Amino acid sequence: MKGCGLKNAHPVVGFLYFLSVFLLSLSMSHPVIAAVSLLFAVFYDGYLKGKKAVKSIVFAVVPVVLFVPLINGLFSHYGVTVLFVMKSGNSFTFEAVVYGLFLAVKFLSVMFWLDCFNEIIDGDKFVYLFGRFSPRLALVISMTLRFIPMLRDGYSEIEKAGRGIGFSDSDKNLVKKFKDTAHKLSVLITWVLERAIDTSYSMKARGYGAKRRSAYSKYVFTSFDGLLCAVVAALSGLSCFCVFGLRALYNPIIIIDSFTLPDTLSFASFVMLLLLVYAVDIREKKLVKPFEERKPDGYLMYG
Amino acid sequence: MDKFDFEADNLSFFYPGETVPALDKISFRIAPGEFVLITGRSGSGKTTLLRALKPSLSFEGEYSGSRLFFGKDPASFPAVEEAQNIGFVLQNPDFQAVTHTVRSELAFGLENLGFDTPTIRMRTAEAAAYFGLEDIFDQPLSALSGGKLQLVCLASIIALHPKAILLDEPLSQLDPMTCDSFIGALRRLSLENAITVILSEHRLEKVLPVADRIFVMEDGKLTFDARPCDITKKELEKNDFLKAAVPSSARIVAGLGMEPGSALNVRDAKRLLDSVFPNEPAYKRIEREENGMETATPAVELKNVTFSYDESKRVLNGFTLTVRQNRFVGILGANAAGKTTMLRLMGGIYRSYAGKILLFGRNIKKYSDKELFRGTVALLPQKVHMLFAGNTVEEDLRRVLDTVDLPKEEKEELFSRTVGFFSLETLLSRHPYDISQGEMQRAAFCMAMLRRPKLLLLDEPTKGMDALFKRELGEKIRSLVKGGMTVVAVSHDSEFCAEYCDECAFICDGICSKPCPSGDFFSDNFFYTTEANKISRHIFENAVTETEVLALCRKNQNGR
Repeated sequence: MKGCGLKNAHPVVGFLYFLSVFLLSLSMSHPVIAAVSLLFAVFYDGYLKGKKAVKSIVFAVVPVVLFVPLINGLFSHYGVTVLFVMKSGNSFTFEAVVYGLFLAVKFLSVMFWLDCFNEIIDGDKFVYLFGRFSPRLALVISMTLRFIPMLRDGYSEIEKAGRGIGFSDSDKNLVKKFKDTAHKLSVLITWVLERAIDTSYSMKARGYGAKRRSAYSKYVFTSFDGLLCAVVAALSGLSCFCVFGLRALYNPIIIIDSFTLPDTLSFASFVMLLLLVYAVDIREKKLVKPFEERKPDGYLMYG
Repeated sequence: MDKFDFEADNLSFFYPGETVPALDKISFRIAPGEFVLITGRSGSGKTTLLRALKPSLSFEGEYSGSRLFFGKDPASFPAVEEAQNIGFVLQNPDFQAVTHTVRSELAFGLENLGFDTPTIRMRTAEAAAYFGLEDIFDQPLSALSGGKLQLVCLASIIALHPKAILLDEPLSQLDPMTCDSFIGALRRLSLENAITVILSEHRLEKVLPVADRIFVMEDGKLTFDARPCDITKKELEKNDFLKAAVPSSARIVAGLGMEPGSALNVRDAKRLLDSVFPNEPAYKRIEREENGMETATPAVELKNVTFSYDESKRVLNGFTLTVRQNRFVGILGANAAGKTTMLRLMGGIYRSYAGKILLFGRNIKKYSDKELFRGTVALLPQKVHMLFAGNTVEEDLRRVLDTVDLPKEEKEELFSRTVGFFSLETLLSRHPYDISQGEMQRAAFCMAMLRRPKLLLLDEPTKGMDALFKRELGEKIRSLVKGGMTVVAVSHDSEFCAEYCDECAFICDGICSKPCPSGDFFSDNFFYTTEANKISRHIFENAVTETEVLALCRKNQNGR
């Protein structure tokens, strides 16, 4: 399975990884680094979610990449390279468009990393990570995760039930429609309150509040997880050098720092950080392989 | 001295401000490992009694007499010890599950009592293995069926290693198949692990054969306390509820003049019947009237209907069914066979993507929503509480009445007539959630009838109903059909369909068998049939209800 390396690792590893990538992507001001981050983010997202997702990704990327520079060009007028003068008398500058482009790239890369984060850190991991602060918070998150699909399903049941006895949605009258929705919500609320009573009984019956709560999780922190954390921390630390060191100026003229040798090394470690997720996947596959290839013993086949 | 898990001595209970006791001088002792079944009509005090046996869930009010838990009185019974030793399963699995995955639900109680992670890991894994939940260990609870969810709730309690579990109508939301596996799990717990099981239920046919002891409650009194095999004919005659609730086998045996306790299952009843008729009987067939089914005009026709929720699997695949007017038709079938889907297609809630649906000869797509739902068809969902939100039952009923196109006086006349027909007069001022399941079903029925539909569609109408309510419902439907209505019900309840339906059909694999008269339908089936048929089919050819079996018996005994 794609992404299993990080999925099977301890949640702390995934959390640390994405936290570093977010922070780095947010703080970078060099266009090349931002572009690389975006490229890897889109690729990893497609890798995790498959062909279908790639299609929708492209549809999401193109408009933003075109739109943000245009808007920025229309409303910011700094810079020395005037492309043309607008009717209002303000100039539409090359610098503003380039800065807009950079902003779009940065914004998109954060969005795509967030999407990858969602894919790797599922509900269970989320509950675990935030439950570290307090077992009670863990319970609240877990209850919420149960509650949301229940509300959704409940509402659709109510809608169908109502239709079945003649409260149909295709009544054109807007006031009636509004009243109808209000009624459905009130059915939902009555039902939810009724449910809450039973839930509280069921919690009480199983000793909720009788003692200080502990928090259980299925996750085991292995030495490999420790190693991964260390690698992520080290690579992120090294990447900081180029991410914070290399700057770019867009106003009034574009000045982009060029890479020195230390910058290049630091940049290489950033790329390695982004490649790490594939490395852990390859390792995971290697772990599984020997079992797949094992053949049944001869005497079992012929005896 | 003998040890008891629960002891009650002259236990009485009054709700605050009430002068009529909800529990009236009840005394019993329950030994470790006993499987006790508490039964009685709704409102007879089953739940109150069960709750009284779990101090943290006991209703507020005034208790007198004594109750002891493992030899301790409620005051000296610490909450932690209670949570660990006495488990409690509620009626609705949807409502009692707290967290979002099976794993966290199993761990919930253990976390509450502060167990450490290795212990919790061990115990949850053990409970999951015992109940066969490993495959769904990491699944979200929202993806589980009601039956699986109820099993998860039970497993979550067993993970605490309780000495006793109390269950308040745990079966009422389950279909027959999952019901069997749930009872099987309870029986194993009682037999193999000596866990005391106390269960309240009004459908006895499933539970009675596995119970060690039966309590019958009536108006807060414990009127009957015996082993199931000691149920006497006299007791059945005395107690209307018990008579309606015991398995068909017991009633048939009682009808033949023998003690019902001696035959609580098909096998035993069959043996007793054999002893009555050692030789082949002279009369083997019940003659039924022909009802001219082929000639009546169709109310609804489905022709090659295809429907699916996603591309991967078709729920209905070339589904064809004709229901003729003025009939009560029962549709049986396994879980997820597409029964509810079919009903929703007939009711115009879903649109089929291939095939044709004709309602009273006209394509369903040609009906406007108003024509369709106000006067032609009404569909009652399985979860009827989804229809109620008012402060009183009357408010919800009036909401439907307001949109009926009739002059004011006629509206009122319709209202009082329909309310009267369902004997809801006394319930009108009550809150819909304060009435029993059977009463709520009746109120929902009334709501649908205010629309004056020609075709009434029912989704599992007998679910969670006690035997007397069922009988009442069956008779109501019969009189509606007599008045010219067509009723289609999907149901798991073979006994109910055999007794009240004109015709039955079977859904399987996305298609439907041709509806045929209930008598023929059930006498042709091997598993999907009634107890009466299973008991008698080796000597009688086509008897499917108790009345028919008993009628044939009498005919043979009297020689005419």
